[in-house]
Amino acid sequence: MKVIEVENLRKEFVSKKRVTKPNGKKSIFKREKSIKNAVDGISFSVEEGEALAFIGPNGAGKSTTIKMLTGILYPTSGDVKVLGLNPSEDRIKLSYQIGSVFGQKEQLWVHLSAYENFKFFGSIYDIKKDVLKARIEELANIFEINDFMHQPVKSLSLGQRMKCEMVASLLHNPKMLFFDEPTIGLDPIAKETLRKLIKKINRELGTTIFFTSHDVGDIEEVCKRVIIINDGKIVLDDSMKNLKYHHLNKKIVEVNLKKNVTIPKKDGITILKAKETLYKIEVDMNKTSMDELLGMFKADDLQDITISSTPLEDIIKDIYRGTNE
Amino acid sequence: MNKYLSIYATSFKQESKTLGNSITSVISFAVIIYIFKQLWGYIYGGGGGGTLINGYTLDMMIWYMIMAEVLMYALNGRTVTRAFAADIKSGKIAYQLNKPYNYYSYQIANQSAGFIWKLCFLVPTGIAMGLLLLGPIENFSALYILPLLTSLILACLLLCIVYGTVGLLCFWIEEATPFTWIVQKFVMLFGLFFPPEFFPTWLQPFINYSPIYAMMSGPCKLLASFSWDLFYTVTISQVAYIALFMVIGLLMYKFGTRKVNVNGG
Amino acid sequence: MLMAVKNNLKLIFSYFILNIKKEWKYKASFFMQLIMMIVNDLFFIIQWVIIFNLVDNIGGYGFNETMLLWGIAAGGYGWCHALFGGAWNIKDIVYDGKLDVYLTQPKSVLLNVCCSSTEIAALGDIAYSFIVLAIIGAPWWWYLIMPFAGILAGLVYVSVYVVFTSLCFYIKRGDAIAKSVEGTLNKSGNYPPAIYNNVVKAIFYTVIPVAFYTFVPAQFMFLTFNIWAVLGAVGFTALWVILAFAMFKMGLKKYNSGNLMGGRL
Repeated sequence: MKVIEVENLRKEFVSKKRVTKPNGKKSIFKREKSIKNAVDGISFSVEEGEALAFIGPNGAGKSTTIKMLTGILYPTSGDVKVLGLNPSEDRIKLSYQIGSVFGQKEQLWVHLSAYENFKFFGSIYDIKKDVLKARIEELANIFEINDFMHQPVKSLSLGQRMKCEMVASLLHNPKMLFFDEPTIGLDPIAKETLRKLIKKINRELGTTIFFTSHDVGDIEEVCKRVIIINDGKIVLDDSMKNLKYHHLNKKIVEVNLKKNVTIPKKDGITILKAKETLYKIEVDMNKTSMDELLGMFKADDLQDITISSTPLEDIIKDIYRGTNE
Repeated sequence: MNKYLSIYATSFKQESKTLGNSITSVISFAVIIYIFKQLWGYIYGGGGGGTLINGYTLDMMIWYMIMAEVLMYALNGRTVTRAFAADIKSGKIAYQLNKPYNYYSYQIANQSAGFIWKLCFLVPTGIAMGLLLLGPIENFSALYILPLLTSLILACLLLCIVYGTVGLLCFWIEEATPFTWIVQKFVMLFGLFFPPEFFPTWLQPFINYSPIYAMMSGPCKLLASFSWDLFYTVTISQVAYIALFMVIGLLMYKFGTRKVNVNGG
Repeated sequence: MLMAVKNNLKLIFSYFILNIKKEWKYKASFFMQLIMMIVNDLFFIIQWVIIFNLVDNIGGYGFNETMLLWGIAAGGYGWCHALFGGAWNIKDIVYDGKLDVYLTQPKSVLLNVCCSSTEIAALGDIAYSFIVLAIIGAPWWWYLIMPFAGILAGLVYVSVYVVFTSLCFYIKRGDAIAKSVEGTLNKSGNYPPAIYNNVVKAIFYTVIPVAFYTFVPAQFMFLTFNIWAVLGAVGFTALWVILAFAMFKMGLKKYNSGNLMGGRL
């Protein structure tokens, strides 16, 4: 069953800027209108139970899309159906069935305990007292929050807070959960915790997940399918497995050595930059392995080393190059 | 001196950004003047004319109110108190501006930008409202304009120093704005709503010799019926109270910073 | 339908309890705000004592009747700031793109936003609406009517504010207009209706419904009880409430969720 159907969706933002006169000063009265297509005619669909990543660089239109799917923004044109409903027309009906976690915008009241918060969400979603109690108990066990859910939220650690946020957004048993940049601004450990939680929700509760991010790392473990959006247009809609094979196969290694060494030529290892003892090396994981490369240096010679995935911007360039050829 | 001019210029620019707020307060100012006119018009029996209540004609009464409301709207006591209090809490007062008179000049430069900006709106609106509702003041002379403005500015300065001195209480207490609020209420009750003559005879000397007279009643009476004698009296009381509150403030500053130094180690 | 009404009332109640709980953690400040508001209201009584020493009545309104107006006005202001205090944050919520959270919840966005905040001082106003009754020695049944009158006045007050503040969706300084209208409502409602001329009265019965905020409730719910007038007032209030919802909903279509709005322009 398809839970999301999007057809030719568009959203334009109109802004008015003061006209800059030839002498460089800004005019007081004259304004020029500028139209920006934040989302520019996209179409896709999502199956029930799927975990979909919606990724793109900053300003690509991810948030605008997710906001149209959840009924926050009115589309300029095009069709959206979420669980068979039109989000901007049936906003209230829809919101009983979906949950949303918007990164950095906490919905919990920090002065009160998580439990008090849950009770409040119960009245927002019209959940009956006994049903709510059972649901809190169930979720508290799954997310292991029993020990701290009666403390004020502000006294909790970031990880604990995140768990409580999740429970709060699952209280009304939503069929789908939307995450807008949930990992933004989190440290690596917190990111990892969050990814595990999202995975858990998808696997154990069977909730459909729609997830936006600008961090490729987020989606590698969580999602099976990925849509890449750039400049308001979809540039890729594929399985995670394919993306990994074709575009996430390369890792960038930057090493700083104590002395000069010669790196032997090998298929799959390309030296991008070499400046004295500093090297930037691309490793094709389909052809060789990290072990192979690292075997070329003596551990004692290493001064500094960082390994990173190909940045999203480069993947997008890569995709464009592929389609042009 | 240049330093203070630049502080002044910055604050003035800051104020001019809040045009929306200024318009809102001007409208609210005009509404309240209108209401007072209607209320007192009724009390004076509609005609106005020659009726006198406690020595005031309707016109005098409303001009009094206009001046009073200008002063009320020009200075936001809480903002002034908060500005002084914030400097104590951040330690700026004790370390960056280590001479008390420096601090006073700095704050006054800072705050006066605010009220002068507001006066630019309030004074023309006040005059327009007065002319519209009552017509020109009888026996008014262009010679009165300068003394009236002097009196208005001195009153603003005094209000500013009084509210600032309240802020200095923050050397000892957490939150000083409740005291500002009390001061404001007294100024309203004994200065704004009625001229001193409307209070019982035994109370009048207290009002006339209180700072409320210098801050509010004095300049308002001056607009209601100008006389040079009154101008001298009001100015003397204004200058005296400005000096007195400065001395109080400097003493508070002296003891207050000592306390901060002891506490802060 | 009935279920929805019940659920929404439950929501208002839950929010209120939560807001109070939040503030209750700082008990000293809680009581301070409450008491200061009551004292603030009491201050104005002196103004009227002096005025009614000069005249017996203003268009049939003596001291007691005028105090009743103040009581209803305080009650109205209090009830709406206690239950719907969030309405005064609409501008910030819209410009900062903070409406998102409310839009993902299955409740009326306007109701949700309005309930999200409570002003503690407003509880002092509600208390004052009853204190007034004690001061003027009101009959027992006035105490029973007061909460009803207060809530009705409060609904008028908050609806008017929402109608005008919804302009924020279209123009940047929409809240300046709303604040000016609110200021007029707030100030004019406290004075005996007789002081206003017919043109102003016409405005007060329509665009800026001061009449339905205090005059009508005072006259027909207390002074000369008239069930038809009361029903009329209820109907008129309902009309304003509906208008508030409609204006807000229309504006919502313009909501940009922080994209290219406010600060970024």
